[in-house]
Amino acid sequence: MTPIGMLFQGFLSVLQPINLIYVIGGVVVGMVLGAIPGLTATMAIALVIPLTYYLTPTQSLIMLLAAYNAGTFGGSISAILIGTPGTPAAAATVADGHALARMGKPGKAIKTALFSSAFGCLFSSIILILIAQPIAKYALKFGPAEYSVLMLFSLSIIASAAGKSMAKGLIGGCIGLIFGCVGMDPSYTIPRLTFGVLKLSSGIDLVVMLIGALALGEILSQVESVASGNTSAQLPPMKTKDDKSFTRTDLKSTILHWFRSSAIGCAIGALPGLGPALACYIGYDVGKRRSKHPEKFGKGSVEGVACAEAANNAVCGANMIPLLSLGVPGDTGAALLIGAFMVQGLTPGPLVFRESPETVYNVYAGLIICNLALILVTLLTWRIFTKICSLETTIIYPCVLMFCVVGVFALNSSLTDVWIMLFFGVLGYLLKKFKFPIAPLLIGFILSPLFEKNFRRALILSNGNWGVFFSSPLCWIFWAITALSVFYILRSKRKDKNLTDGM
Amino acid sequence: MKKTSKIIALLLGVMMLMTIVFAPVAGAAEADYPKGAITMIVNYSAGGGTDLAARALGDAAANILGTAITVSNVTGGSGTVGVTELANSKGDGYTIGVATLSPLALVPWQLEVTYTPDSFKYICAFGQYGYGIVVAADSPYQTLDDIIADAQKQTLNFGATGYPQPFTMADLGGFTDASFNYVNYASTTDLITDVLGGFVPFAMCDMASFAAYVESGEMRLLASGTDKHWDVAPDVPTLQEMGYDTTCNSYMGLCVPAETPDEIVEILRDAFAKASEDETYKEILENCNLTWAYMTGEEYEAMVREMYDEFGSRLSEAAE
Repeated sequence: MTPIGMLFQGFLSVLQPINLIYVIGGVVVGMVLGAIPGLTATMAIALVIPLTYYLTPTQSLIMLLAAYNAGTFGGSISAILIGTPGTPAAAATVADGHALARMGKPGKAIKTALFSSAFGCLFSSIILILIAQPIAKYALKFGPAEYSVLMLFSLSIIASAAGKSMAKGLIGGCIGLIFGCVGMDPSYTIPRLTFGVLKLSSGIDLVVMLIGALALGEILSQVESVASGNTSAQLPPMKTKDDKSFTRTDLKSTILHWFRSSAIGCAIGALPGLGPALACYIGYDVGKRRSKHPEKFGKGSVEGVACAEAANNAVCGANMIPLLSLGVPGDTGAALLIGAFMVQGLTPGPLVFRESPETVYNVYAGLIICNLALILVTLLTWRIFTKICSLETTIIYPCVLMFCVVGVFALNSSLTDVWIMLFFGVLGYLLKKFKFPIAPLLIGFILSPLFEKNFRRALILSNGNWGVFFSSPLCWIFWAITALSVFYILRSKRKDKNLTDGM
Repeated sequence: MKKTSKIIALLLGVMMLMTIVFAPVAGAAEADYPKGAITMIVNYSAGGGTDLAARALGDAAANILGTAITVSNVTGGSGTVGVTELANSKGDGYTIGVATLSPLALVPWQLEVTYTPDSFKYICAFGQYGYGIVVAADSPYQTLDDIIADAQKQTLNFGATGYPQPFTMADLGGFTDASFNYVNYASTTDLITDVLGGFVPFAMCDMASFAAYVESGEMRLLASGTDKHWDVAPDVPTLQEMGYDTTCNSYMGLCVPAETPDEIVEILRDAFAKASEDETYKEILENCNLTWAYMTGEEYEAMVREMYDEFGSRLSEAAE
């Protein structure tokens, strides 16, 4: 069947009422969780995954992608309405979005964010559809040596996600690398760092670790901040006037930004390790420099919202490019999707295109349709979100905590997993408390086993000859990119200290 | 308001009493086994070949036993976590489990597990994993002899996803004075991509995952490692037919905890013997590229014990 035919089939299957329900469900869950300050799109995925075990692969994946996409957008709702980014990815939206809301134009701001987000994700989905399969064909040229150097490059990204203190970022990264080593040694199948716990011999489950470090860690620090008297932010003055719509003039001024920011978001999403938060900043920054009215940025500019939001949502589709073609996650959200694929008996990577092409095309169709669902759901419900955004954390977090425990237990029906999650919850809280960024920890954890197994395999296959890492043009290309990335990260670190964690 | 909560409290109290009164009765009712649903622990993840086969067999057996069999996938530790859970379960016949040959006989020598072959009673073996030696379609190796000739000159790497495949290659090397080096691949997908990409010269692989690639012509099968030919390449002989006295065998079997009463074990053995003849079950096995191979509980137990000793001595030899 031709790709067009397959895509058409994908649309037909996603548009089945039952599948559509899962898409809309994903959108709603993602939006709500994204809108709650502190809960990220990644957490939305982590919390939805346990619900997907009993679904078909298509239902599971489209629901998760919808949650991811909507979660990334949802962060901007609270950024606009209460001036607190719901997710780090919406941090750049706060300035302009909240300023617009204060000017009495929250509707305009949300709709700008909505259409920009949807455009960004659609744009990157189309890029994904066009290039993932060709890359996958080429991916067989990727041997262990090439993967090793690619992983090395991705590890260099830790530096960009390190936040204010490079030392703390690198320490976090190393902790992640060590936790990634738990389990069977990949070459000689000897258990390492398992402390005699049989369950640990298959390693620490990513979902368990992420739910612990992200969700539980966040809950613990929220508990602390509530206990010390900080309650949730208050509502802004809501005086809805007639400028609550996204007009044709707005479209004219933003359309160029959309394309530019989406392209930036795509590029960042396609590189392993970089996430929507970084895309959002860079999209905003570049947009500001290219805009005709840079002076309005930060003071309620529709363009500003558009730049930031198109960029961060473009990451969602682009993340799937390395995931589907190489089996390498684009960011933590995509890394969780690997788990979701595995639960369904599918391994993301070049082979998925032949083993289960219909699932891939359903994913494509799902990505596109979830944007339409997102637009629909948001237009109908955005007013309610003023309430959701300002829900008492004392109500939200206990509920989320329960979901964490139940979800982790459901993963393998294992109490050991729950203990592991609690451990990472405390660890995540401590890291947060001492201002270690969590993102490097997660990147290190995700990449550690990938890097190690390929690195050692490359050396074993070459009989210990280190020249194997320089043996192909692809290796050289990745070495060059790695050197460039380290150079630029160090330079921009010096210039700009505002780069927050690249989750 | 107060009244309602009193009623609820009363109801709860009655329910608790009922559980206490009826629970021992359910436990003692050995004679009319099975009275309730049976849990089947599958030691590999849902959706894989072993899981699909076990579920199909469970469905067939459930019809024969006249009770439901629910599957619980307990994964990890190269299949040992599920087997450990089975060993620790109550031996009342309401928990049975898939125990494949490798976690029963082999992995205990590599990982510290709390069970031995004595921890179980054996119901049956119900299926066989097939193995074979494959190369990429564009590989210079045309026959197994090419590979052996090359490995006589210099050590040749091969990929495999675990034991017992490397033992078979070691046997082959012993017969022919060739030297093979085992490169472990934790993930089958990685092995497939590295064979296709030409990064590993050849693989000693399992049929379930590789048959599709042999069928599509992207890989060539040079020898069947099992005692049967592969369906997708029926002309390729087995190692034994080529004159090398070695085979690579691994089985899927069912066990119950050792303290399960013998009468119940007999009921289960009869039911699963019948279930393994089920047509739907056979069809699913074939779709998963697994081989139908029924063994009685005694036969499977004998094989597990024999392999347990053999793997133990071979692994300690290899370590020296």
